[in-house]
Amino acid sequence: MPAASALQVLVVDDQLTIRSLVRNGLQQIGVVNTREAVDGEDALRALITKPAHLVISDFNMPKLDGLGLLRAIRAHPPLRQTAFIMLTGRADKDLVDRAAQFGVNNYLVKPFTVVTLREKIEEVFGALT
Amino acid sequence: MDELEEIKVTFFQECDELLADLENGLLAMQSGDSDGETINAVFRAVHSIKGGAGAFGLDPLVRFAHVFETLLDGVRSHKIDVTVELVRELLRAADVLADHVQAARTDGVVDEAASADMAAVLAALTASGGRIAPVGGVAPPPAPVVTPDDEIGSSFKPMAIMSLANFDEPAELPSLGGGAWTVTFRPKTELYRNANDPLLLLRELERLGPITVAINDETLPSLSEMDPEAAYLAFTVTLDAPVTEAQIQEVFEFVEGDCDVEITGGPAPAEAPALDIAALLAAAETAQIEMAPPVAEPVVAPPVAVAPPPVIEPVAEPVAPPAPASVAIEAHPEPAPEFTGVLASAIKTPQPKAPPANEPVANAQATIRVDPERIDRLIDLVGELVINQAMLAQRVIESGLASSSSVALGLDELEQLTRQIQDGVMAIRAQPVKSVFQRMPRLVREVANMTGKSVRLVTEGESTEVDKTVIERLGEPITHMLRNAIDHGLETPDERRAAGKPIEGTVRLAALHRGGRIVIEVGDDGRGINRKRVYAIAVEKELIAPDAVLSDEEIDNLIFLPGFSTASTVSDISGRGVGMDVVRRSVQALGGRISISSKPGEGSVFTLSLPLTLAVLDGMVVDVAGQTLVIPLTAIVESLRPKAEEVKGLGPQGAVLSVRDSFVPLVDIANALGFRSDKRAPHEGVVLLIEAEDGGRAALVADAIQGQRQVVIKSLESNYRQVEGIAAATILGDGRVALIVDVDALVAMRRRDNTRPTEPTLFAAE
Repeated sequence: MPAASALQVLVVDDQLTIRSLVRNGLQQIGVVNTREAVDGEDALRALITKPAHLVISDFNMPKLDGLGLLRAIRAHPPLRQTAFIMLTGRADKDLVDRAAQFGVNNYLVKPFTVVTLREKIEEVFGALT
Repeated sequence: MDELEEIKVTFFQECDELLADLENGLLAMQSGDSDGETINAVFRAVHSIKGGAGAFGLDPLVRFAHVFETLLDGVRSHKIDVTVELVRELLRAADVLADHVQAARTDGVVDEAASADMAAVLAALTASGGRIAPVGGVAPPPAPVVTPDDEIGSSFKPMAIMSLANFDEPAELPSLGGGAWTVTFRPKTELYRNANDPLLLLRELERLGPITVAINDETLPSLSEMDPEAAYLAFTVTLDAPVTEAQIQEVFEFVEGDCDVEITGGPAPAEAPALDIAALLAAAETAQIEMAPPVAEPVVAPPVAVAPPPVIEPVAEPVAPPAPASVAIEAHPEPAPEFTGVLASAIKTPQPKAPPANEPVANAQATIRVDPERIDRLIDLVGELVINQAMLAQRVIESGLASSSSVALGLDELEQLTRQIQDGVMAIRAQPVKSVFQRMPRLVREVANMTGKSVRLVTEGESTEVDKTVIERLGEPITHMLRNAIDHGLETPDERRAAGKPIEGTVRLAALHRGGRIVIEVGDDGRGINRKRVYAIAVEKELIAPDAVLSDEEIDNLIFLPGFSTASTVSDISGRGVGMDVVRRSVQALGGRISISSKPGEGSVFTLSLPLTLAVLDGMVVDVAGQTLVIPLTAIVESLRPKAEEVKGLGPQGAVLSVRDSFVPLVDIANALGFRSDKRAPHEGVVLLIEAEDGGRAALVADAIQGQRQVVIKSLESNYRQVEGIAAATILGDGRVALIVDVDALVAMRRRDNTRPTEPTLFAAE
């Protein structure tokens, strides 16, 4: 049962709005150790500098998209253990399938509620305290 | 403001950027640049707007964005070809999307019919694979296809992770072989004088890793020559530890300048971990085969290719979960693996690095948001400060202190500082004109479509800054001038071809600073002003005498006269019976001036100059019947002392002044404002020749001119009430209130009622 306050999360989205919404949601469930990255490359750089337990990432971003980020993380042993939750639009079933093939831990459909956000994280880490 | 509301504000700001990205992308596509990244950026902009809008429940916006996005998705996946017609529709759709964003922002409504029509066109394009079909009979756009969350979930099982790795301790990294540092450290005499001891520094270095120290005593003089308090020794330290140069420099941080330090060696690339993303991705491509999950690790097991992922069902009580409190101390992760295999080339020796604090990564904007009211208040206070400083200066002069006295000199400095503060504060509210300029491409497109002309808009000086209050009021005149330039200035494509010009006309919109004012220029490469025609119309409309002799410039400026419109039919574009006189009025209301210069066959340029702020005004301070008044300098053409014979009576009350062969009505300010009921001979005072907004001229009679001064504008309405003939008030250096004359209202008043008030009705407050 991990403590929400111990969870270190990297939020990746090219849109400040979405990053703010995710961070805001995380804060409400007690996850305060959050960082941001604006695209896949930025996220990889951030993770290499300092790892995170969980990456919550958008799919469509410039430079390196969410799927590319996921693949790079899974292909890189020091980062391989990082949990990955993909943010997706409603109709992106194909995307979720592809992400599953690359070892995504969970997905989160936009727009989301705080309750769903918590559920999706708990499905990966177990109940948060 | 609650946090979600703040994020919503952010969203709309971001929407502006996304809409600009969208438009820029589409314009690039229009000029033939349809590479994948451009199309994807266009798609992403719409997608992002939709995503954010969904989070705030902005349904109409989401619905329209969805239809738009669906079409763009088709374009992106090459199902739909990029054609000129398609891009034109996409640009129109972008405009409708912008309307939706605007409506959502202001809780307003969009033109539902127009939005539905556009959505129908987009849906039809999607359905037909990009062929432009008549809209009639096309089924309404389908509602967004919503895949229920469960449907995605049915084939997806989340992958659980059992324990959290501990990142609070920097991971131990493999020794970076051969990367020993050599630190040469030569203390200066000052180091010892400042009570520092090299030994402490050496010990500090030792904390970073094993060191060997060699002493260099080459510069040590013989005992007889030695200064016992001077420094002669140097130390060469070899440090074999995986540390960064910065960490070593840190040791010497407090003795900087007191010693020479030279750091050499270290691991080959002495930089922060450089990441070759391309190599890493290439590795990711091939890595799948060797992606067997690490054995005995209760963690993510990345599934291989098509095989269903080895799922660990979510567990409420994971087996032997690390107690939260122990997270920080236990489970020391295995040393970070060495980089082997295909990835070795992708990762360039990361340096061990203390984990940085939780700092926002990238894009951390170095800006702050401030309530505009606070800035307005600050500007108000600075205005007071300027006035106070002026008052103080006047008192000093009155007290007879010499200008070389220390008080006067101090005051000079205060004046300088006050100016600087004023400039600084005004700069806070200054904004680039970009926000206005970026609305114009859409306008140009619309007008070009309506007139059937081909137009290219060129903008310059978008980053030119001007006060926010001015920015807000720039849009209208610029819109009008651009419309006018396209509608009246540019020729039709046929005419341009006949004249040997490129078919596409160019309209130029530029902003620049000149002499403490902002200048906006709107130019076209069209036919120029047809002076003969303008002259004929002006005569026909009785705006000028049939035998008037006017210079080219004067003829050009006739278009600013009220009611002047050269369009044979009153077009829907340049205004409904209103013309450039409206532009001139709104510009003059801002304390600005507008003029035009034109060359037949080559085009015209409108030049609009405005003050950088509406908080201060350049004024002419005059005396009128014992009162001090301020006349806005922009209205004044010239000041003169009339001779008695130049004043001619006209009717029982009126009089005109003969100025260089034309007659200008005389307005006695004291009479008009009710300061004085008896008439005073104009030749005893001074006359200010002014030009009113409507282009009419008048001669204002005052008693004396004090001088030209910059004054801080204070609203009379918010402090007292509106007074006819008075625009605002200001406070003079001596602390008295002076009224700022509304020249146009004064002239209009005079024209309207020729019966002057018998009692004085208005006095400036003492």
